[in-house]
Amino acid sequence: MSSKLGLVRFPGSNCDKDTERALSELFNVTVEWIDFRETRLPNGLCGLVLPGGFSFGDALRAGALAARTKIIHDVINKAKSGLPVLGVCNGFQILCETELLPGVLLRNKDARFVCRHVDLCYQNQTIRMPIAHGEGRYFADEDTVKKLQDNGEVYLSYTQNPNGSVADIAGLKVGNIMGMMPHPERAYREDGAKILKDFLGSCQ
Amino acid sequence: MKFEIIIAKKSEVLDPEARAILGSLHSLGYEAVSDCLISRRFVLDVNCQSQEEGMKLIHEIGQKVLANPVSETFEVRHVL
Repeated sequence: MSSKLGLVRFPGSNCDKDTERALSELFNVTVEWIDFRETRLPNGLCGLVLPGGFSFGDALRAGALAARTKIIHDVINKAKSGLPVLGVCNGFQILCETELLPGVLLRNKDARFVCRHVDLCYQNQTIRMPIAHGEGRYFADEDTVKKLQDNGEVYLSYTQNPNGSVADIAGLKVGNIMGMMPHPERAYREDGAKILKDFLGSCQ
Repeated sequence: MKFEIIIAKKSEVLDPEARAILGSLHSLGYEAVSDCLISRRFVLDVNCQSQEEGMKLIHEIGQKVLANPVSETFEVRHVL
């Protein structure tokens, strides 16, 4: 991988440093920090990460205000031109709010914040990663979910659904856009490495 | 000119907060309450020439920003 990976930071992002550490330690990747007040992404990025945490206090809905910033307009344009994008937790919520990924993340079914390791179905294997969210209940209408399933775009699913997500969906990969509630960067010395490797494999 | 926009979950979307409140009401003895729906009300003060222009603007804001069409519906009213 010749060029840099961009990482956008919003007010409230708190998994940005973890992500940088995971990527640099595992794969020797250099990260270029991008402030949410920028209006355009730097040239020459090979991929982009929207990290976990919060954004703008998650006012309105999680990720809703971040999804309407100028920098995200440029992310949408570049993503539509093929730039690989990974959104983790709040990043996944932002990607759904931009409609780069279908659906929305709603308040967990039992209205509780859930923070623990979960088992996930990934490419016919069971892997384990941590989750930490209050609004991680994936929701989309039946037709959308069927389309995601038929196209093989359900990238991760819970083996024991912790939040009421429809069809146990924990993460999606639609073309060059990946989004997930589990945190691979918090498990980068374990199964999280597989996910980060997948993403970097698409960043050339 | 003031307008209100009321945003509610679609009926097919579970609202765990509403369910928790309904459960609490029942535990307090208000068994007569059979359902609970929560919506959010925003009041926006808009510089506009006419009510029609303001309504159009608020509808646009509802669609683009305040409501998520996947899980929510909204209605707009002029506030006197």
